Amino acid sequence: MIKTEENNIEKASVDDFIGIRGTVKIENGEHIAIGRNHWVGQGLELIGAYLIQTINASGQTAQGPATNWNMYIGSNTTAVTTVSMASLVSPIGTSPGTAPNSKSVSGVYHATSTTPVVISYVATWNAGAVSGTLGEVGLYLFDYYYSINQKPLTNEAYASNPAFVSRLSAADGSFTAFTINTAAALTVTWNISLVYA
Amino acid sequence: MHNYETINMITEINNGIISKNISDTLSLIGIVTIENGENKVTGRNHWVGQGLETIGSYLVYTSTLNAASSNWSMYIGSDTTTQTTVSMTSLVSPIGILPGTAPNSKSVSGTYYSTSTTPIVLTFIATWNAGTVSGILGEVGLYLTMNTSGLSSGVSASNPGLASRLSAADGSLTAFAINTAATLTITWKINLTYA
Repeated sequence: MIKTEENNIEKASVDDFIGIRGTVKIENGEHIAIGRNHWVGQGLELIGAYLIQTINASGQTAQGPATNWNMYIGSNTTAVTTVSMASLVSPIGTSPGTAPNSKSVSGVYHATSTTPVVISYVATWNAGAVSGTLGEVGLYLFDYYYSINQKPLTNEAYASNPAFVSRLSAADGSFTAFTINTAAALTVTWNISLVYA
Repeated sequence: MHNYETINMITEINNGIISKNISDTLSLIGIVTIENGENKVTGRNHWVGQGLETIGSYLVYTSTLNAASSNWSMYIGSDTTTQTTVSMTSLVSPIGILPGTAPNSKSVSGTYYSTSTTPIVLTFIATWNAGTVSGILGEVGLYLTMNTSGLSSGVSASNPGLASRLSAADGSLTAFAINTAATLTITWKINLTYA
């Protein structure tokens, strides 16, 4: 029914819908790779659940996804990202993977820009902390609503906490896999932009 | 410093350096249906800056917060000439005392369709009883709880704040005189899709 409505109404204007895009930059010594992420179903659920969640500060106060977020890397180079994917295919280190040695998150609102909101998740592994082929990266965000069993979306399918929400992978053609230079730090910058699309 | 870096990166992408795949982008599309007696109109919303801010702020939040629907509402207005702008924070000519006459009843729900091309549909419904509001209906606003403090340079929004607007001035609906003998029901659906 929704599709029918969309087809019957006027053409979208410049700010009819919000686009959320993820761009990932990997830096390891001389090596720099940039690609666009692929969102999995849990990523949509996280945002959708927030928008209709009725929790407030006087009741069971909600917590933001960056309260307990992480980033992991893996070696898989053949499995394309699917909507139902809930973890990396071949994480480096014990599942869900070797955590970064340091990380930070920040966001900026550019009121007059065509890219009004830019959020940056940055994770760094010290030299020698991880090794092998880097073929996939995953962004994990905290799913507070799952943790308190108040899932506002019917059929919501969260399975872990924090939840795997987005993936960058060589199998999707988003970047070229490479062997990690263990003599250099590995830094992954995951920028999420909210734009008028 | 990362801001300029990010903008440059986005520019590269928009210029086609990096290809876009089917699930690269999430899109939030709002479709609004207004029913008042025999009158039924449907149009697409326009997001304002605060709408992007509250979602973006949520994603970087590292502490407790009020969820978007913890204090939401919908208001109507009579303006038919002012197009929606990014900086808009309220309806132009609300019907009733600012921010407007609140609906008599409202509900919010959402469904996840894991195998659909429109995986998530969120539905906000507001109803005004017959005779509660009158005049020309030319604009509608969806107000959500604002969590703007997670972003630097964010605006300080009232709570709840205007997140999205449907307006005759944008060409999204044809303004009409409210039939005060009938209830007025507005269904605001937000679809999260892979664009």
